[in-house]
Amino acid sequence: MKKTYKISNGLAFFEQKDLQMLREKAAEGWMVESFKGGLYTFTKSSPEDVIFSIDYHEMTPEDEEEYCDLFAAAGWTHVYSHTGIHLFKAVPGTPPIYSDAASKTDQVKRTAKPVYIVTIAALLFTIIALAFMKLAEGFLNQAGKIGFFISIVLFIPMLMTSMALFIQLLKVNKSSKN
Amino acid sequence: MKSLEQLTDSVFYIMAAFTEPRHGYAVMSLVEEITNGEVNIGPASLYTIIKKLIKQEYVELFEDANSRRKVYVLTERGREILQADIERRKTMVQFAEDGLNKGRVQ
Repeated sequence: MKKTYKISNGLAFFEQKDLQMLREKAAEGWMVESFKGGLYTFTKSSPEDVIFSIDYHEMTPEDEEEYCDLFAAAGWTHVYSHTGIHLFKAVPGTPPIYSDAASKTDQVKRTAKPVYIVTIAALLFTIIALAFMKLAEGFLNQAGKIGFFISIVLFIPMLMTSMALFIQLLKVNKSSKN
Repeated sequence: MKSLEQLTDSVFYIMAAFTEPRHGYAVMSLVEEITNGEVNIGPASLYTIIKKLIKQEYVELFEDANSRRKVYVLTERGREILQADIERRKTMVQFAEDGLNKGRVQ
């Protein structure tokens, strides 16, 4: 089976861009098969004119069946699920998976919460490592330096992701008020 | 959708559909049919709202031995909430209707 791969633009930042890319690939005869660790895998298929949607829900396999049934009834075919990320496809013109601004806001909040928690944890870790670096001597100072470096590498992308999600939340909130 | 005290239109339609035991997916087609295709409830919205309604105890699973699929129905509390929102909406409609019935001011 012929396969090709593509790296995600980052769902928190460019969800629409990713979904558009999946559509273009499908039109070229490459159907997305899976999405793992920021990497899309495509298999060779006949060209298809389809749109894609992505949703985020942690759920049990039993709930997942019901969830996919709802999507199927609305014309959305399940493509792939992994770690609470669910990808669906449908023919162009199929009504969107979120019809209600309030529930869309819920979705973004749900996605953002763990990201905020990890960002705060990374920030605390950075501060602790910095304190060791400045205040401790010898081994602890060395450990602090290494810890600081690691935590900065973690903290900056987490902070960017948090901000992207926060901006998304402001956008949906705004559209739900209109 | 912090609290469901004032129901959004989607939540209202979904709760109205669960006055009788129904499959989740039956709700989408029912609402579409009732509104002549004007209202479309997206599957992701529907799933999120059903979960929320269960959490608030407005809706519960209906035990149906014949069904492999999950069937939901309003709880007593759900019925009360829906009734209260009907009253709120009636007041809205009454206000607008009274205004229109007074006729046009030239």
